[in-house]
Amino acid sequence: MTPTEPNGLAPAADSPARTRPKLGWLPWAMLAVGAVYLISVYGRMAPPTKPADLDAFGRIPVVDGGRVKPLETVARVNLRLISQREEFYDDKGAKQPAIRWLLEVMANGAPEHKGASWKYEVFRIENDQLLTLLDLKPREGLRYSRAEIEKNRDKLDKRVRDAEAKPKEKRDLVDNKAAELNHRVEIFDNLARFGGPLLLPPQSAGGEWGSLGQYRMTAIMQGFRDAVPFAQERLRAEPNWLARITKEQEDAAFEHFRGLVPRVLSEAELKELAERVKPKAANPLTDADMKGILYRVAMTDPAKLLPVEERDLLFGLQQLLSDADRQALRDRVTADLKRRTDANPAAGQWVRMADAYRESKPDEFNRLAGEYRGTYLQHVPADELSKLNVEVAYDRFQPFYQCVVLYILVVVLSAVSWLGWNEPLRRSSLYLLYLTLALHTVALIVRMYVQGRPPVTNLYSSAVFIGWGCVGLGLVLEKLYPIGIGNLLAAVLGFATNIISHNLAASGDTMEMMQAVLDTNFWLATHVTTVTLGYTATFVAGFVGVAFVTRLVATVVRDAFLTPGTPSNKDLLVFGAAAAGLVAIPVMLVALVLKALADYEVIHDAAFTLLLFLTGAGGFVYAVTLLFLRASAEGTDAGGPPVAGTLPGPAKVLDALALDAVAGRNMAQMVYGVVCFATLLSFVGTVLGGIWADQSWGRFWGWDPKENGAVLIVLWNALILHARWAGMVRDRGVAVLAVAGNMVTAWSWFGTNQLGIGLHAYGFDNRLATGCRYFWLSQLVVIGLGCIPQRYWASATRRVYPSAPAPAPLPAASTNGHVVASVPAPTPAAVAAAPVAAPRPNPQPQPAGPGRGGKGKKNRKKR
Amino acid sequence: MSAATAAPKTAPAGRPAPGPLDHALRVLKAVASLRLTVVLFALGVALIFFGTVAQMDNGVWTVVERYFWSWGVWVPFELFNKVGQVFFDLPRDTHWAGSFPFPGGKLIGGAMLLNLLAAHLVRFKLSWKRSGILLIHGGLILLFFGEFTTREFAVEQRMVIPEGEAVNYTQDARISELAFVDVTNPAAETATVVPEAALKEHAGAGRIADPKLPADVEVIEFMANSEFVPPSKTDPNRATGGIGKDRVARKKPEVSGTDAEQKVDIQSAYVTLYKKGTDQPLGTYLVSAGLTKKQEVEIDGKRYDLSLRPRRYYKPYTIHLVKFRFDRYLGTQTPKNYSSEIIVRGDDGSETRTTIKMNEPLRYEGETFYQGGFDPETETTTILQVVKNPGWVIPYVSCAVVTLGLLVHFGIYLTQFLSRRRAAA
Repeated sequence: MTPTEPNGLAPAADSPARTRPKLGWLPWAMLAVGAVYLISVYGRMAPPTKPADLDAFGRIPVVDGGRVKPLETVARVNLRLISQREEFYDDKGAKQPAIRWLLEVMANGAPEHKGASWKYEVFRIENDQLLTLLDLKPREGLRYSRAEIEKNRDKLDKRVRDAEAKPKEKRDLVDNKAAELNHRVEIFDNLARFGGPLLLPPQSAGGEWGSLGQYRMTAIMQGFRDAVPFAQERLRAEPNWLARITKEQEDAAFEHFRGLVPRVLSEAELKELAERVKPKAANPLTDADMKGILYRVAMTDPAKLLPVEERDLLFGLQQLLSDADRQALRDRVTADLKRRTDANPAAGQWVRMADAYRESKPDEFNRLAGEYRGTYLQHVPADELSKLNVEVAYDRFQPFYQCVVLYILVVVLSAVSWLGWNEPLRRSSLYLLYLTLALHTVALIVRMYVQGRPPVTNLYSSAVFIGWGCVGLGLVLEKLYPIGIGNLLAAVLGFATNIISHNLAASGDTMEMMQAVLDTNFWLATHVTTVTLGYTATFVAGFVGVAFVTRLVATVVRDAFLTPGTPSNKDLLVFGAAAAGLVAIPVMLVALVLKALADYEVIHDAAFTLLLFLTGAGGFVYAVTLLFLRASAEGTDAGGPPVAGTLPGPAKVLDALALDAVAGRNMAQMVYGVVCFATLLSFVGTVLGGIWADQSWGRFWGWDPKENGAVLIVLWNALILHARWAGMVRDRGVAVLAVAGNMVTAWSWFGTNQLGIGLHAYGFDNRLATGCRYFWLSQLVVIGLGCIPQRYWASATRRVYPSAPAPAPLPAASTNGHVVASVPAPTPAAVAAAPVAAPRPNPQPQPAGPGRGGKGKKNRKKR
Repeated sequence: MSAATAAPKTAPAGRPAPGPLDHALRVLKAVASLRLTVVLFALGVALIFFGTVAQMDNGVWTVVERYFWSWGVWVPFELFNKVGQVFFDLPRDTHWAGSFPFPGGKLIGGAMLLNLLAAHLVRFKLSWKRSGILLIHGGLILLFFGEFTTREFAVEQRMVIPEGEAVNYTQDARISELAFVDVTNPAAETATVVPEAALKEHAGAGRIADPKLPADVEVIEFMANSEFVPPSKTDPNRATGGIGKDRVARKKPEVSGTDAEQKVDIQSAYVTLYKKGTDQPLGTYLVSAGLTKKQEVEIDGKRYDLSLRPRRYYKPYTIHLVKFRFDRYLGTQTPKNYSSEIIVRGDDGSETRTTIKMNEPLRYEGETFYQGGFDPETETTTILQVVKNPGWVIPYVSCAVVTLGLLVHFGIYLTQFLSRRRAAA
């Protein structure tokens, strides 16, 4: 059998006799729906420009993580780190963009303001022990405000300090989660102090960016330093100040002075002091002693002190001053800070912007923001600014999220196409996939443009790129074999990889700078791209294998029903397994979709559980029904014809799904071809990696886990090819081995990364390990199903079908699942599809005898 | 397609009575079996998997030695437990005892090579259709060969150069030597060394007497790895002079590859020096790779710096470090690049000025110099990785050959496939 034979599965697709297929408008309508959806997203993506112009604010360039990027990105990355999503709900319950959150934090997040940003519930705390520690009740979304955390901040601090005292491997889950939350609170506080990104643009050509937070901190400390002599001067000017101060003032001042005492007093004096404050003496220090110390500390020469000590000295002095002098000191410090800040005009502008927003002067804020962009960026190199708008659009449009939406739609369409309206729905899927692939491609190109890098630079982008490759390859397969498999595969892999990347994005900017050794576009473009394409091809082959096994299982179920006679226990066992598998594979797919919806918070976790349960239960009922029907095959319908040997209603749908010789051969050809491609790519990629290693540290091969993972894929693909050439496996065997290739690739892609950290960072983001586990288990289930002995699905290897073949474009509507005579010319398939009420060879008693072997051999020769 | 490559299922019908040559051919055919290839691939996959997981417990070099460059290996069941702990939430405080034997890398690799060679002997046929296969397999044999040369002949050393200084030797971080450096004449230091092997050999057994050495040396103890403790009753001090007077070196087990706290072994030794050819002791000294302070001994009126230092290999060139740079991305601690600006002066008076960066090594005199590391405290001392690998070019060639072969082979397949489709359409 060769692929050159008309495969009978989609004869209509290219046949001139079918120029006006049924529902020909549907694909175009679907395409239009997708396009309208994308246009509407584009139209709604910009943040409001009134009252405060958030759009303009988001376009301000800053430096973060080593590159110039718009505030829009900074806002999204930081909110994602804290909240695991890129928008938030304000205290009135309205959905707000990340950029507003950032602006609010900068304007009113500092401890002295504690404004609206402290009330927004953005900190996601999933660990219930941590919630208990912070005295918080679990709530929907598990997000809490900065103010709520502040209430028990001391407990959090203590937990973090205790955890840090332990060696790393002794820390438990709560320790790590507490550290994580603490880090997030620090991110918030740091942003509130203008820390984090470098906000100050270069002030001269070739100058460097600076941190406004640090600039302000330096200015404040310098202001304190200058204020100390002023305060001391004021005290000196008041001859009797020591007599004036109250006990409270004295204590308050001493609080600040405590650390300074050892710096001021001599060693002998300190010793004497220590003697006198021994606990047995009731009032160890006389007032005079106290005042003496106080005086000496207050009048210390600030030049001898460290900056922190100067601050303590100033705060102490402040307690001792008269009210008028204290006010004068405050005014002086404030004016001083303003003067110093304004010394850098951009710094002054930032502070004014924040002030204007905090004081609810949106017009003033908009004017300042416009002025800032017009005035202070002239020394930023033009090429660094040119990419900003593209990046802003990329951020706001969230192309990969839109891709997920479209991919899910395609998955649904493809799945439904197996039930009816086959060809129109297949075409709809195809057109939508073209649209989605175009979007996916544009998004990848934008990333490459913004980063100035080849597509794959980190784990996140590898997921995005592998998804892209899978979709592309799936479409090629669909072009070669227009039977809907390529579509389904493209959509499933496209959206599954996007789910992975969505989860990977939680750890920060997805367009991060490259560590030194990776800083080479040449090797990123060659080795990394080829190796990831090798992963891609291996996955595609593996998932065609999964589709093969799914159809094989459907064949088992169908054949069983069509077999007259009483099933033995063993038959029933196999039937049961097949029925369970037939349910399990779609349920796993649904679980993945639901997981995606839950990850994006489209549905709540409870809904996820409920829907998954319902799907599972529905599947279970279906499987049990099938099993019951099969077990009672000897019975008759009430007064009707005997049940045995016909396909009962609930199993009719399987007829379209079941394999026949052509479909089986086609899919095996798909797997084989893609495996060849995968071998080539993974081999070349792996060896290029070796050459890169030789270039950067003089060792071609180092046997490290990632290298080993790559070579495992090469070996596994080579194994599949040689096993096929050796005649050890045929169509089914190739498919099953390719499914195992999925497991190998997942190991190489994510598994190896987990080994290093897996044992030491307990519970710290083990999502990847968990993902690997479920994926491997699911693939094992598929492999197990794929091992059902051939005699249970023998019809798929015969060229004369026992029952109806599954001509793709035909509705499975005829009464007994046979083809109605709508096929224009008698193709071999159509001939074969003559009604088979007549006795047909029993598929059961065919042990792997010469008949099968001989035929297989002949087939092999022919290929 | 497969007809061209599949193992011909020998049809034994009508064969004459088998002679010895036939038996040999049958053995050869068995060795050439494609089924054997598949089994070997499967074993290889399993071995590499084990060798990857084993790196959670052992250093990569130990694993290579034990799994990949060995004939057989005992694979501990604990590996499965480890995988379970990471991916399947198995309890972390358990340990699975026992192990099972498994063929090592040499055995599997060797068998693959035999299988491949035999297959080509049995089925050799020169045709366009098979040209791809020949290229692929030829390239793979070359790759095996390359790995073998690297393994047998490659030498990895280091060169540590502080900024502004010039160095004319490389060092082997894993092997040490006992050095007497004559410091009487500061203009030209002359060193006399005793290699580590000799120290080990003579530890506790006789003296090392050599006319070139300024004194006879008795090695009291040589420690492959050690730590320093203050002298105490349990650790009495054996040194009578020098740095060893206020500290004692105590023997420790050698470092495992994944030890988080200690990465390299600290070799130490106690040596007693005797006036040449006499029994007159000059003192017992502690020497150690872990000591940076110099210790001087006076022998026959000459002063020597006595030390245990990484083994040096003197070179016919010197490398002068002009500047080491560690660039970070703006506003971050993320390293952007490491580079060493150097001047290489050959003994023929030639002078080359160049910069070694990440991914941009210097190839000079059959050796390759990589930016290997730096001293993190000062960020002014560079560590160059110096590799001499006579087979470095082999992987490049074999990679090109195999890639070409794969392209040809699958290309032929693809063209056939597409043209058949077209013919059918």
